[in-house]
Amino acid sequence: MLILRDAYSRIINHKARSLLVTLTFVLGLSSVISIVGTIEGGRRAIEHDLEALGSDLIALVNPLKLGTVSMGIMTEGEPITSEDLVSLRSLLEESVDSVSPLSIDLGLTTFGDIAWRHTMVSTTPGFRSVLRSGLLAGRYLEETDRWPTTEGLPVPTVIDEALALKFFYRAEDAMGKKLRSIRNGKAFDCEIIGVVKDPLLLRQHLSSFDATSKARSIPARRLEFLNLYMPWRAESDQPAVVIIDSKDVDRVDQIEPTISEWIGAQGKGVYLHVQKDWTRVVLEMVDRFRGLGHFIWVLDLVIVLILTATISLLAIDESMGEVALRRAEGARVFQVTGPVFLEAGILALIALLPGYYLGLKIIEIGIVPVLGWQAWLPPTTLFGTFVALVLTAMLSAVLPAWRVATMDPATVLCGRRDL
Amino acid sequence: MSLVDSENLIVDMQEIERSFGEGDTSVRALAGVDLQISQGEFVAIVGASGSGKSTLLQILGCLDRADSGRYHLSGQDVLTLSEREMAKVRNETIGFVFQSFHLLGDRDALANVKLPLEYRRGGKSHGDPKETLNRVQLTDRMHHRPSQLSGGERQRVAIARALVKKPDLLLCDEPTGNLDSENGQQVLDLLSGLREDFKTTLVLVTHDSEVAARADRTLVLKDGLWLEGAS
Repeated sequence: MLILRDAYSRIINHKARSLLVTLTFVLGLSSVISIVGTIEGGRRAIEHDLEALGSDLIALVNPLKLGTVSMGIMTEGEPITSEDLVSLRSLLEESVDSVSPLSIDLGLTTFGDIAWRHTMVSTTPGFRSVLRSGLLAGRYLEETDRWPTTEGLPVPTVIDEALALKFFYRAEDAMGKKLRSIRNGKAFDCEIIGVVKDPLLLRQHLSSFDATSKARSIPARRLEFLNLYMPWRAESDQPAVVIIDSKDVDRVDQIEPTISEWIGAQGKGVYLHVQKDWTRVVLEMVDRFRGLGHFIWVLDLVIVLILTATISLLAIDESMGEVALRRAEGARVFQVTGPVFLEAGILALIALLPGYYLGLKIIEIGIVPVLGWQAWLPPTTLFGTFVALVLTAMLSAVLPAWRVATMDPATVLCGRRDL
Repeated sequence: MSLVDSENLIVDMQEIERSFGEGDTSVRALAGVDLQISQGEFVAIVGASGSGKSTLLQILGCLDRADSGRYHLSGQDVLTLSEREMAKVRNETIGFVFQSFHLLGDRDALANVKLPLEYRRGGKSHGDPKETLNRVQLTDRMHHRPSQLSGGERQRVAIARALVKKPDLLLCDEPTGNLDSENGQQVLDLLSGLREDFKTTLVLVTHDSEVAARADRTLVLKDGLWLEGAS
């Protein structure tokens, strides 16, 4: 109790110093909170978007349609055709939600005076299971949806939210509208029967999200989710990509060898792209940047440590007379060093809430509007941050406490050491 | 009281040596000092600056340790004590009065007098802070802070703080050094009176020969040794 009372007295009797130290802790903690919240939130957003692309997907990409960008391991042989889909479906029936062929072309769509160049995807209704985000409005393609056999009738089409927003103020407004499209040099009308919700969080704030699209292959550009989805034409469409949607991520490792065997047995020459592996590689890269972010906040705490230790060290000289007197009057070393540590600990605890609040405000006002993703502070990380601050505070008290512990009371009290 | 009462010794020092620094820069502050002080005696220690009197006072007050020699305080060999035991001795056996008073500015006179009792862990009895302040005629000033007190009053608070411990040995380092002559005389009168009342042994370090003249015995230090025939 005596140590606690002395610590309290030190805080109250040196208000300016206490305020400065607390302010340093508040600013230090808030910057740590904003850094940690931003990098963890960023990682979470990237992880979300990667998950939205489907970690349990395996893509078989026909090399004839791949363009200049390689994906996965290329095997030698023939491309996959529509006829192979039956064989694949029966082979994987128990382990997958769907096996969907995708015929992908670059096309042009106009509505009013707006024209947009984008990818057009012909696929089967089973592809719906690949669209994790679900539908914003309407419905997805069904078995009854077909390309019209009569000239002039529109093609039932599903549109991605991000593409719909190119033509309409609200994506839902696309419902029922007829768009004019050109694909493979042939013009036709599309009637929008559904809008796919945009799965990519990052696109909501990063206008440069798809800036690299021109450098990527047409199959890869479907991942931009700027597509029109149309019914599969069994008689004429050939798959550029076959998307295999595993029932869950864990089954991917079981399915992959089966598919590889099938590719070998059938003599197919396709790129085998396992989304799970790709996601892991991307996340590993993200984690390297995340590590750098964590290094920065540790550095931030080191600066807080140096600042508060300097303030405390300079201030401890003011207290030397009192400490020396206490020592002369019978105080033991821990009774004069204890309040120094406790003072730092109390000020750090006082700084926790305002530091946390300020950190959240920095994220809300300064970071979210710029980067776009929400901050994320896992409870364990938040607790670790608090503990790190309190430890930093205690460490900053080590030098002043050491000076107090090693002082010569006689020299201080007698004001001289003249022998 | 001019002669040492060997049966009633409170301080018994033999061949006390203390040096500072090492090698060529070493300074020998005390070069084998003997000192015996009887219970209730008033001893003044004088000497030029650098003679070793402050070092002697610090060793007497258990604020410093001698390099060699023997020091018994109230029959206890203090040179062998641990840091914790030394703190206990300072708290229970020794009172300090300093030239610069060293009062805590954020506390009133009464709280300053209570300070040593915060570190008292049972054991020896102590005085009542209010009564002690009354004894130094500061009853009406007990709730005043040091900044509201005169120099003489501050030194009286410092004396009360030393006496509330009921110390066996009261060490005063230039207690009148920061006071004018009138207040200095009052403080010396007070110390003399208290010594009679409390039967406390008084050791006073001073430059002032008039102050030293009030002691039972005056010892002169020079170059870390007693000056022969100066007592």
